[in-house]
Amino acid sequence: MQGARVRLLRSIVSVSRAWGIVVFLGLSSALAPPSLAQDFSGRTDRPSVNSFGLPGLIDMPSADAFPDGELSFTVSHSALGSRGTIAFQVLPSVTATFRYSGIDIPSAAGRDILFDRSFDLHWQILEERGGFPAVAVGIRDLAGTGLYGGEYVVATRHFGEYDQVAVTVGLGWGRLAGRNGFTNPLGIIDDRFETRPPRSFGLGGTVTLDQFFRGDAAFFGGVEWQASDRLRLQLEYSTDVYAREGAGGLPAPDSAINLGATYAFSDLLTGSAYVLGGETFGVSVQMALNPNRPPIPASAGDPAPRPVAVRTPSPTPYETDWVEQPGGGPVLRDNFAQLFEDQGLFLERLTLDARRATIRVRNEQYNHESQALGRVLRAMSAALPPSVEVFEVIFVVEGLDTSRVRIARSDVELLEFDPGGAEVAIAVAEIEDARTTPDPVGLDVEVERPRLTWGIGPYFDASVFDPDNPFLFDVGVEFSAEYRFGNGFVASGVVRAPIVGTLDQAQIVNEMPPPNPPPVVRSDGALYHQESHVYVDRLTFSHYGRPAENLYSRVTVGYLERMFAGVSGELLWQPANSRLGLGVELNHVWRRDYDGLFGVQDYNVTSGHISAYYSLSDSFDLQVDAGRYLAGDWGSTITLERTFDNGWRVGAFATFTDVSFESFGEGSFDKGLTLDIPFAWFTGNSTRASNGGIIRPVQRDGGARLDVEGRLHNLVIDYTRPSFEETEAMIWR
Amino acid sequence: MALRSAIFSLIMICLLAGCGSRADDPLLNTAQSLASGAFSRNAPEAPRVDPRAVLTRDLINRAAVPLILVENDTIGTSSTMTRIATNGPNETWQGDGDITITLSSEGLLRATRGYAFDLYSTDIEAARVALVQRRGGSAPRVHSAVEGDIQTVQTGYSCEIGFGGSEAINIFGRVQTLTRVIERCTLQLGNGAPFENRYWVDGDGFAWASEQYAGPQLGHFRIERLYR
Repeated sequence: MQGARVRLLRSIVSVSRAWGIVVFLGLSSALAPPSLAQDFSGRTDRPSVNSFGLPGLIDMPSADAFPDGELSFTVSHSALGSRGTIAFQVLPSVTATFRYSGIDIPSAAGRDILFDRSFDLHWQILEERGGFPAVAVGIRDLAGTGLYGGEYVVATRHFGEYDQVAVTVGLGWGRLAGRNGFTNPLGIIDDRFETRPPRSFGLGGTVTLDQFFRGDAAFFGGVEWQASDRLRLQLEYSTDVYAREGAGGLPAPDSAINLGATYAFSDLLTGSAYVLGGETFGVSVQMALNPNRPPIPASAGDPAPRPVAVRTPSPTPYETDWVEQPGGGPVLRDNFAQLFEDQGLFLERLTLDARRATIRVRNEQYNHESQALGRVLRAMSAALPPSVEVFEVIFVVEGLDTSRVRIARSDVELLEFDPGGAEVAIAVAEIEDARTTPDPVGLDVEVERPRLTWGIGPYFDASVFDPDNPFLFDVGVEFSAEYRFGNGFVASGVVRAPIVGTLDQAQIVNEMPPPNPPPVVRSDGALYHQESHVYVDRLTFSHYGRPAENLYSRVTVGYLERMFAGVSGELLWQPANSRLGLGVELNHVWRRDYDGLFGVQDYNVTSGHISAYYSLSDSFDLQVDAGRYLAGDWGSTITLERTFDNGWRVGAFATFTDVSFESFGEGSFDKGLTLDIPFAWFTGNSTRASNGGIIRPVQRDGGARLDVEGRLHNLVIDYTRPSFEETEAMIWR
Repeated sequence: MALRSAIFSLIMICLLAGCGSRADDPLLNTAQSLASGAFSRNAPEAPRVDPRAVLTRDLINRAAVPLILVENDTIGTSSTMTRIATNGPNETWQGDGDITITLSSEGLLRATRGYAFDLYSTDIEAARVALVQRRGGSAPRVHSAVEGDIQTVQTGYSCEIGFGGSEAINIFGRVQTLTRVIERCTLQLGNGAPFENRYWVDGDGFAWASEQYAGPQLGHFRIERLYR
């Protein structure tokens, strides 16, 4: 290298000649699709699941626990009711569930079918160890209407050479003490345990602490036999007499003996059939997903990266006169365009002097942020002249500079194949706010992205667990367009034309209107589907900005969401190295007309929140919002999410405002589950797309928030140090 | 009429598959990749050529670039590869656009990329020294992979390297007398099975042929140096 002038050359593909020869020879054989099907045969260590979607026998619980992080979906059906349960293993010992059931008896609200929503908690206090059984305690219908209300303490122990026999014995209360009950042994502690007070009102949703473990108790139990690798047989003595169902005319079982069989179709899918009390036949299907056990290794489908291009060692300093080379900028721009090709990475701007280069990149593909970082660093190693020793990468989101990741080029060269190189690379990288250090002054290359983007395609909109309907959906055509004016100004809009669907059948009016209800802001959502044809989903003009170091801003004006139009402003403080972020949001909005066109109704409100976002650990994120909600109610929302490094998020939230539980109506307060599942986890092909949403037992008017696009924390959090650390294993992938 | 039906077809395509200036509608792309994956699973994408059936010494010499043949019976792949990058003692070889393997300059496997169940990196310093110095004995080795919730998982092995006798090895018509070296590895740390690597080295410790283990899913790679 010494002696020769360092020139920026258009051809960076130094191997093209050799590569051409291989192609010419026609010797490269296609990579066979790798065999990705894991060996799912053989005995699973997953516990059997009862008809309530929890570890158990048939109707009764056991003391087992699901593997940590497992999300299981169970649907069970018999003449005594249908249940759909989502169970999540929040911690290695704690299972939480949400259940939606439909029972063919009249409801108190006058409906033909009783639809009920319930939450459970199951806590394995002791693991089975050293001959001692596992012990678990659980509460069914923790905060629902109390239809399934029951509590239990249960022990399970395995016997036999291969642990093939599991014996379960438990003590139940409430609904689980329906047969051969006796005086509550907890009465020794306090006489009050001996009576179980009735529910005070039928709204549900509140935690009925005064009922738990009170009233008569009863013993239940059962035996499970692992008959073969895939088949298990169960026999249980049940204390659930289905009294409410029997009173409604359904065939409540006379006998306490239930028999069942469970067959594992695969490690993920099991099916069960059972007979309750010798007369009522039932079936259930369970599917399990575990974020910790992807069906395919992370990024397995991604092409191999271009290796780091290492500089030739030079006894004299690398030449720097390339900085003055005329036309150097366009050469670099073209080279990066070639290096980023087919990678979903887009150069926005490159500024560099002889020693330092700062690249601004849009990452539209890699869901593991460190993988995107690694690919950008490798491209820099290939494109930049050898005198550039400091690499800085700034990922740009919605035109916003996020963090500035600085790493020495020599470290990139050194760590590529080091066994601990992934962890070390992130550890030695300096990560700071993009605004902390000025960009180098010298060459400056900017790439203008296309101003207008648009698309026409199908859309799918679904609502689950509406009080009257377990599943409602719309399918239609969506037209979307976005125009970027530059300097952070964006206009964007979505117009939808539903073709077929049932969303207009959602519940509109509660048959029992609550006393002193808050203004209607969300509960008539179905009217927006009933009274519209082609509608404007969103039409907004926004500005995203960086007013100061660690600060991000957003202003959005227009038709913000399907039900509200107005103006929304937000300011976020989020340092690049911090687990804590703080935000303020202020909105003034009008309710939109039901037809989904441009009119608004009289109701308008100023709402807004102060928010704190805190990453408790690698596994849990906490968000607290306090402020004014859409119905003008004041209060706060707490959201706790279990997070996984691969992008899975499973959480729950609850909102308490000055709307009383009575005035709120069914459910007492706003609450629900949040779910975010990255598509890449299923396919192994990097994509930032994910699917998820909020599952609410019931949508009322208290504690409702505006649903505006582009909230800042979601946009920028992926490029802070904690996120790079979570995905660090992927930097050299 | 023709125009109208063309517009109608275009609209139908948009409705079903989506269209627009965004080539990157993520939902659509994922759906498409899932669908195409489901349909193409059993159909090979390109006619497969077994390099062994086509390659001759004459062709190799005409190419006149460093060339290796990489075969894997476990996953059923076979590909010639050229060197695309050198980073210190590590040389990265590319077979087609999607896969690379990295070998030390002596031919020891350091990493794979694009094989789904990749070997992310290895610590093979002791084995390298043993090969170059032609000295058998014990040599630790570490394999690093990414598993589960994208966690780096390291597996440590304790290996015994033994130099065997000389063998005449024929690589596409070029016959060399090479020393057979066997590296027997047993699990020391983590989860894994014992394995054995075999190398056929010249006087400089350079492995012209080898069979090297890359993990439970990838099994052994057979690597032959066709042109140095």
